[in-house]
Amino acid sequence: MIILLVVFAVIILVIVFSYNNLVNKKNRVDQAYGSIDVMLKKRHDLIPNIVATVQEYAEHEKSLLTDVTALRSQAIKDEGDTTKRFEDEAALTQKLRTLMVNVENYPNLKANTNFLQLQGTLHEVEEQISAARRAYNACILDYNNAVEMFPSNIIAKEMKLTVKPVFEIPEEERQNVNVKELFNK
Amino acid sequence: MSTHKLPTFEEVQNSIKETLEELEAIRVKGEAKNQKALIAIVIAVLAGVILSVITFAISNMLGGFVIFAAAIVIIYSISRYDIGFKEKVKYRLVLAILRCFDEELNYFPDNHISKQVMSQAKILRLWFADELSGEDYVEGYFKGNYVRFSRVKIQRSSGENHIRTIFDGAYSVFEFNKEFKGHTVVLRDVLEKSLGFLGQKIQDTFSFGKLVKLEHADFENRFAVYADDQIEARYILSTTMMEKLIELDDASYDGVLCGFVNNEIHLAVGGSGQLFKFSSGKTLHREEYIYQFYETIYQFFKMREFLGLDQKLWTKQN
Repeated sequence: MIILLVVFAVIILVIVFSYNNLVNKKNRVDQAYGSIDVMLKKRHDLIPNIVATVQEYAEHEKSLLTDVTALRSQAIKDEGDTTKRFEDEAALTQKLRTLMVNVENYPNLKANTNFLQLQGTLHEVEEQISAARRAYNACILDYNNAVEMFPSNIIAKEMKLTVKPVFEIPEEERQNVNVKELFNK
Repeated sequence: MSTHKLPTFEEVQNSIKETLEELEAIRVKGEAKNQKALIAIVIAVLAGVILSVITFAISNMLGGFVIFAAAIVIIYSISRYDIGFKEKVKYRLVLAILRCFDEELNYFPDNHISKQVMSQAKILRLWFADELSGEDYVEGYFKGNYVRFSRVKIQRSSGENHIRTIFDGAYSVFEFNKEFKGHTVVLRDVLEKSLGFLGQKIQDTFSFGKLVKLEHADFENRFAVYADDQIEARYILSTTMMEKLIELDDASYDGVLCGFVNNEIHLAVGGSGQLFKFSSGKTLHREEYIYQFYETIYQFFKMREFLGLDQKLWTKQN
């Protein structure tokens, strides 16, 4: 009888611990997502000014600027869908990097004080997005492990918790940028 | 002398030529003076002993007079002995080489980074120390950025007549090239290495700040990172920075510890011995001798450059 009670108590403790652990990890993920959200919105606010400044000096980059503007709008539209949003933001990161390499061809633009300030702010925001993304992915890893591993996966299923996507960098972005190719585009 | 890049040894040699001549003359004069004083002391002692034996046999007064005369000669010779000239030469030589890097650098041979400054970073176990010493303190502005470094030695008594050295090496403080508000430390990962997952849990529970788990496997194996802000820790410890710290760790004699606080990076690099070893018996014209001083200073500023601290990032441009 005592053994049964002990076994029952242990099971209850495991359930309570797993439940609390899952809630804790879910809240951490939400908190980390909030930090990324703030930085991504900062970047969205910067983009119209960057596009307007570059447009004045760099006529040949019209198509790239159009892509940047379109991706920004798409990312804002997809804010409710985490997976799509991350895809849009990763593509936007790549386009902005290409743009910043291409502006090296325009000395007048590079000498523009307003553009330099915008470029500096963008660089800083990108660094902070990178840090927030890494923190978010660390939280996601902990959360996804808890959702998938036994015995907490049983509680997770009851709580209707599912794995969440990481904020990944697409394969093409990971490749070393061929600077020569970029300038020939 | 250019202040926009690190000077080469040849540039430093050319720049300090006149100073070197002057210091060599002081060194030679000082050595000669001390040698004469030493010889006089030896002769006075020997003569005093021999003559006093002879004269005491003749008369006590005469013997006493001989001892008195010998004592006068010895005291006079000791007073002529110049201990200070070595420090003066070393000080001027190190300062001359430092000023080749930047005119706004200063040298304090007997000082070291203060306990108060080191306590800010919390990378050394100062609360554990019974004795804190050091020397060869360099402080000032390098390319407009405030820098400090010195040798630091931390020791603790353990039992009777037994002193254990906790840390003996170079401690430097540089302005970091990113702005941050919190506190991040990078320490040796002793617990996780010895106890695995349990060690990680202990680190997380009993340390100051939260344990930050980073993605770089090699970095994670060597170091344990604690911070009061997880995102800021990752902002500071980018992949590039982690790889550079690993390289620095490999290149150092006894490993690297670092802390980030008040927009500064504190680096403790283990390795014993003085930073600037000076022997007045050797001529200053020996190239390898001056090179040793130059190389020590060069390594500090090269380390700063290696970590990318010389690149002013946008937020710190003003």
